[in-house]
Amino acid sequence: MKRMIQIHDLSFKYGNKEVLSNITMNLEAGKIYGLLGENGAGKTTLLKIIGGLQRPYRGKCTVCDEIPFQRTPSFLSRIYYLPEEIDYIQTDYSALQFADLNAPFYPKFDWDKFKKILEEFDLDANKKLRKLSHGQSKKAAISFAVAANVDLLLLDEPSNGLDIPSKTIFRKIMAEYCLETTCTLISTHQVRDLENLIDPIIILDNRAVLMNESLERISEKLCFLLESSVPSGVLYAEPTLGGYLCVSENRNQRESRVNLEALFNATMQHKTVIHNLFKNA
Amino acid sequence: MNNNTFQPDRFYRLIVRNLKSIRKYWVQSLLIFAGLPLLFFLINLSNMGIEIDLHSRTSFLNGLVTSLVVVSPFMLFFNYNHPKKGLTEVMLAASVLEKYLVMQLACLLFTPLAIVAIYGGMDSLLAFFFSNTYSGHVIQQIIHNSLNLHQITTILLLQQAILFFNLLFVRRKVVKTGGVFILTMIVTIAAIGITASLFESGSSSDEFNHFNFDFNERGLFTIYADDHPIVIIIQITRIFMLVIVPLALMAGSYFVMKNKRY
Repeated sequence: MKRMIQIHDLSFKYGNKEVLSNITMNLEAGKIYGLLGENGAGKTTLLKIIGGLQRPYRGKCTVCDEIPFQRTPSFLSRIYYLPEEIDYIQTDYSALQFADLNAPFYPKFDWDKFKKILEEFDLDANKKLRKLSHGQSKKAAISFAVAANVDLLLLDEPSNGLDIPSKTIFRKIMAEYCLETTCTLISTHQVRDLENLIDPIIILDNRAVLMNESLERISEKLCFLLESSVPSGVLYAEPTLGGYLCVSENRNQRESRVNLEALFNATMQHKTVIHNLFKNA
Repeated sequence: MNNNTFQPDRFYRLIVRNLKSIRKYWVQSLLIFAGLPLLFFLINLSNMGIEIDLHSRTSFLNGLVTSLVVVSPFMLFFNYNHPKKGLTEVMLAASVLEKYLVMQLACLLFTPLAIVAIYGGMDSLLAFFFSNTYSGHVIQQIIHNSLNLHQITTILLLQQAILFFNLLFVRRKVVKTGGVFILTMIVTIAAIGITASLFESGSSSDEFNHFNFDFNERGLFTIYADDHPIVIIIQITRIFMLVIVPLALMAGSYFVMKNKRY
């Protein structure tokens, strides 16, 4: 697998407040990474650093062998950053006009794909964006981002504001988008919206990367089971229909499906245990 | 030049994008700038006792071009450095140099050309068909009489200052820019006052009272050996304000664009 993003010993501050501290990780092409973390964990900041909008004060970040903050045309034509708030889209234009303005700067932009995604979202491509609802504008922005066919797609809370059918369409589009040569990094709080889509999972906490593991490895190490009562020694349990969803160490190599929300909660409650579990493996 | 610094094809695409993205101004501009000469023509035709002659029309166009060229960075690129609204611009796959040059072209060339072409075109059309009530051509006047180096450099100074502060300030930029302008004026007036009073005390009152200086007659870089010291100071200040400061502001705008964090 080709390494798309290389981050080494990266630290970032807003004023005197350190938001990211000594982060090291590599992200590969052909995967859709899920970036999870509590509010203020530094998810958006990390996306902005990777996208060249912020500069780390220490350490190094390279994307496609380029330094993002230099914002060279060759770098910018290979990435697309979709922020959570889509104030950046020119609302005086329709989705088609917006694409007409900006598509010439993305060499692999696919107009057919763009129109097809707009159709799938049931969006009027000729309607002014300011006349659309927030969710509809977001769909237009997602359509453009995907049709740009860039090597690296950075999405910050993409499912926020989307209705239930659109979330399904979004997952389908993203699954189709993922190729051997592309990498997608999705920051989200809505883990249920993206279940079955994101893999590996990156969890940020306390300015550092707490976990960067594939679902396969997570299910090797952790067990997610529905129990009628809470057994002793579980890392995390939450009441659910028919009993308790329990997360525990997978000592007996049992197979289970990773529940992202439970994984996140278990990780937040037992940071050291989880960290050591994966570190020692 | 490096492909990542400047590429003519990409630069052209950026110019086209810029012209397309300000198309909302086209209809408004066409209506306003073509409507003004028409309004003057109707006033002349109405026999209300007011005649808007060639000189007035030229002065009006002069003022219009000056004011709109000066504020054009605010009008065309107000959200460029906004942390949310400006992302389309900063993430667009073109170099900072190309984006900067397009910005300068739009403010320094396209804006005055568009105003002069629309206003002047309509003015000439009316003068051609109705020479009795509407005589002379403002375009001719502008080219031959109205433009001078002092005026052009002053416009450039103000415009580059607005462009720089438009990129530097993120929020309440109009108020802050106004504040900087007022502060600069106060400091300049105080400096002139202090300098003048120093020279007044050192010269005979007759010499000082007969001191005369015309910006338009004196070339920007002209300093004579027998010039009064205050004239030399004025000329050095003019060169500093009208040449060095605009160049510094141009470089500063580029630097801010290149290093802006979002």
